[in-house]
Amino acid sequence: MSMQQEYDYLFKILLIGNSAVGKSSLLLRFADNVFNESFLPTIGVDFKIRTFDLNGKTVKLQIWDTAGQERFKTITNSYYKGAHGIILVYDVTDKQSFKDVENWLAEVEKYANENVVRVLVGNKVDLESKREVTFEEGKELADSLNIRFIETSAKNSSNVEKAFITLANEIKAKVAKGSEAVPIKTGPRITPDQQQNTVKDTGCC
Amino acid sequence: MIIDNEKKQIRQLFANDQKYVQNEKKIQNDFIVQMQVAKYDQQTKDDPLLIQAGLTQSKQSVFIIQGKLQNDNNIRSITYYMISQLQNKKNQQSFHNIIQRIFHYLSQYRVENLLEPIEILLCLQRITLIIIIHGNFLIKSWFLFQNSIQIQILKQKTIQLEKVAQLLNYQYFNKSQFEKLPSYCKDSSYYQLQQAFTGNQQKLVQVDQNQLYNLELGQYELTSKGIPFILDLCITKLLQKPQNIQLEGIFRLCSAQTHDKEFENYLLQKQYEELLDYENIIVIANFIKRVLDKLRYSVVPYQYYDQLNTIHHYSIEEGQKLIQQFPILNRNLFTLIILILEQVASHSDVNKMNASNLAIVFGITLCRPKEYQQENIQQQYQKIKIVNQFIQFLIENASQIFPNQRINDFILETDIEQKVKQYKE
Repeated sequence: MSMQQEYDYLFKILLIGNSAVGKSSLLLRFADNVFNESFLPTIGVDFKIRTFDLNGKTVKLQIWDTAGQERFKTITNSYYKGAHGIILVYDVTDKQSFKDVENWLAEVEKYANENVVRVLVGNKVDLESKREVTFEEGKELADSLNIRFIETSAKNSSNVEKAFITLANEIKAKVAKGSEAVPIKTGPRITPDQQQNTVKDTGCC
Repeated sequence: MIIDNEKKQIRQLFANDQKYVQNEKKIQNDFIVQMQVAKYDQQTKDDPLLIQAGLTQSKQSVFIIQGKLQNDNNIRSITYYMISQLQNKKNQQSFHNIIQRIFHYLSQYRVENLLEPIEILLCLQRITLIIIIHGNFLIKSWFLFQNSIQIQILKQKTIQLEKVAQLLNYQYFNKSQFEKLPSYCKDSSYYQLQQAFTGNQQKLVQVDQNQLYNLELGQYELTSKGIPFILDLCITKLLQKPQNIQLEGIFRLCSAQTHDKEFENYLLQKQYEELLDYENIIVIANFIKRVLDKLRYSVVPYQYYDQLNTIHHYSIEEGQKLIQQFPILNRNLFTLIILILEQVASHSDVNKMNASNLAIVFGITLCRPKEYQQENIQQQYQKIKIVNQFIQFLIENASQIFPNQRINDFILETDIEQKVKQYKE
């Protein structure tokens, strides 16, 4: 087994959604199990890696966190193509971010692979008193798209794990039909060296 | 503006020329007024041709033109210095002709011929050429280029020169400065130029009417402080109530596209009254950002994007020096934006937008490269981060970097109602 084959699957996941919905926080919670109150916007695209066991198989998730800022769209959309899974995030306390899911879906339609697995995530459920989007509304949208729906809180860690693992499971099920290991064929080229360098100061930059 | 050894060179070149000696005394490098306007080549999207105009202490107009071109390998710069006294139409006309002729010759790389056909051309050296034309005016240029320079582009640019000069001459000199000018500045050409300027401005405004984005700064309807009117209006609105800039996530949060459209329509149809009651601050904040994002040319001129990446340690002085080099319209707007961001950051305990967050959100809005190189994407982020750090530095030190500037210096009036009223009149 070669040095790099420490995993059975390598999936590339993309986090998208309006600014300040908590994409980076979800990633930080999932990858490092921490929460940062600093409200730091993301520059362009960042990524983190987490490897875990999924029904006896080692799955390595390479999760790309994109900037919600409109300004960065031209750079970030080049990342859609190589993604196996996309997490569409909105903020349950921000109606607009929910409405804009539609726009993000259009971006996915435009730039991502046809068979990319999508999942809808409503974040910030810890702020129940400020809630503007009900669970039912989220569920309804997800159902209409025939995709999974999960409400999360990056702050108190609720369901974050579940969101990523649900997605990983679905991708795995999809690719299991085809080839085993999924190499990254497209998207920006990142060598292992670069990965290590980048990972250490990501999350928020 | 003219550095010492350059001055020395000129002096030597004209040592035997009595007329020049007299002139040289007049043309000191300490302008009392200094300004810049960026004029770009729209088709080629080339780097800006910067034009500075100023007055010397003896009230002579001074023009400095710098063009910057790029080829595949490197940025090579071409600098023109034009020092002229455009006192009358005739001078302008002949000046214009000479510029055109120079470029005609340069385009054929027959530079050596320059000496003969243009009699007032006094000196020419090879490679790093110094061309000095001297009559009632001087032109001095350094050509730091080799081989594959896009002379044609310059040629096109210079055709507009005369008009630009006219614009410059009258748009940014204060009235009071005019009144202080010696009588020769108020001869018949004054009125001609003024008319020409008015004509130009009408033309420019016409372009704008159905367009809010993708314009050059100079194409916006400008306030007398040289700030695009619509931005001035939005900024005034933001500063109207302290709670506006205390909004959590201001300049970061997205706004609804339908609201954006509605707001844009008010501006396009000049329904400024609607803005008086407009309370969706996120929409306004995003509009400001969007206008800047979509400016045809970045607020911070392109050449500084890479230049910033070579600076490892910022100082107040360096920051000031850099900003001082921006064309006037860019500089004004940039200063204003930094001052506003400083205000926003001062409420970061409430709005969560501290200098660092604001810099991330505004970094490439204010300072972006001519184009992103997709293949070097990680490097690009590195650069963006450096730009952001610089912007953060400026926001954090705004009061020292702009010690004498207040937001209100850039905004026409603090009362938006008056502004709207004034506009309607």
